Amino acid sequence: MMLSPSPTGGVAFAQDVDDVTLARARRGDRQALGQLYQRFGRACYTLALRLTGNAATAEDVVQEVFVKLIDAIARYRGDAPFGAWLKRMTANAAIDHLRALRFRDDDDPERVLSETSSEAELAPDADHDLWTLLQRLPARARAVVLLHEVEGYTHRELAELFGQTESYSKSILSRSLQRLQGWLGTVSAHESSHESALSPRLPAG
Amino acid sequence: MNPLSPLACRLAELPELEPPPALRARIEAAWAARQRHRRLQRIGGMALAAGLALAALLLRLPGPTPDEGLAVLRDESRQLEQRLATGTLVHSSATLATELELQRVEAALQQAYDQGAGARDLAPLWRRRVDLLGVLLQLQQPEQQLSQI
Repeated sequence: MMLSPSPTGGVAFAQDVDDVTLARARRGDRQALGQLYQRFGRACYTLALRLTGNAATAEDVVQEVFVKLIDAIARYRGDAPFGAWLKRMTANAAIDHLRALRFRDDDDPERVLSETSSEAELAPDADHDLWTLLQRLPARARAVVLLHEVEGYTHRELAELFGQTESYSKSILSRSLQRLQGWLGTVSAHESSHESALSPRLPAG
Repeated sequence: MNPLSPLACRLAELPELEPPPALRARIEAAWAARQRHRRLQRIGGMALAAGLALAALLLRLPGPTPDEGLAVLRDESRQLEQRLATGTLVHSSATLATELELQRVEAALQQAYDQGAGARDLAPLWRRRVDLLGVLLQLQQPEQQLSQI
């Protein structure tokens, strides 16, 4: 997995696709489908990885989305930008994987969030970037945070996506953001104390 | 629109991640397999459709539809009546029995029409009428029959 800064500061689904490429892809032209992968594969993979938190699962999600695309693209009417439509397909596929996970791992975000404290288990010398902290959240809580805060999903959409109520989505988001803020505060405090310990002490006066 | 919170800004700035190059190869292979499957399905579908069309054609070949069959029987019946009208019947018990049977069949036909019967119910009665008219034609005087030839 390679990291590279995003040119747009977010997941690059907001790219135009010309009508000819879309028409060729609808006919099952593999070259046109390849162009769509070339353009959106990274965005799909990024979203899938952020939502599932697992590289192998993200690869499966992207493969599933692009294989389904051969049939699904015939149903794309152009009402929304192609990238937005593809993003929704990717998010749905990733959530389906998380739903399957729920029955295997008992990954209930409400329970997990209530059982862990915000200061718990943060080693002061660990590399606690935001992504690492996000991965500490239960999978569905992380998905709610990312879809709401980054991808602009509403609570109504999230409720539909997860088969839950809007208040469930609001509660998970609020508690997850609180937890993230708490962790980030702990990290900042660790970093400040570490920096002050390293900085030279000037003689008083 | 609400301004983004500092945390939301940091989330939006998370780096994009490059998928492994092997993923594209996997997807290309899946596309190829999917297209092969679709092609086979299309060929199978076409073969099935052709088979069904052939079966339907073969089923249609042996005979006309009930309505077409009824029209043929009515024509046949009319021609036999015309031929009978020009001849002279031999008075015999066989002729009488056939005429009585013909009257019974014609009464049944009339009743069937009154009840709005369909071609499937009418056809056997018309077939029976044609057969009886044919028998009556056979019972005509030989010289009269010869004059018709």
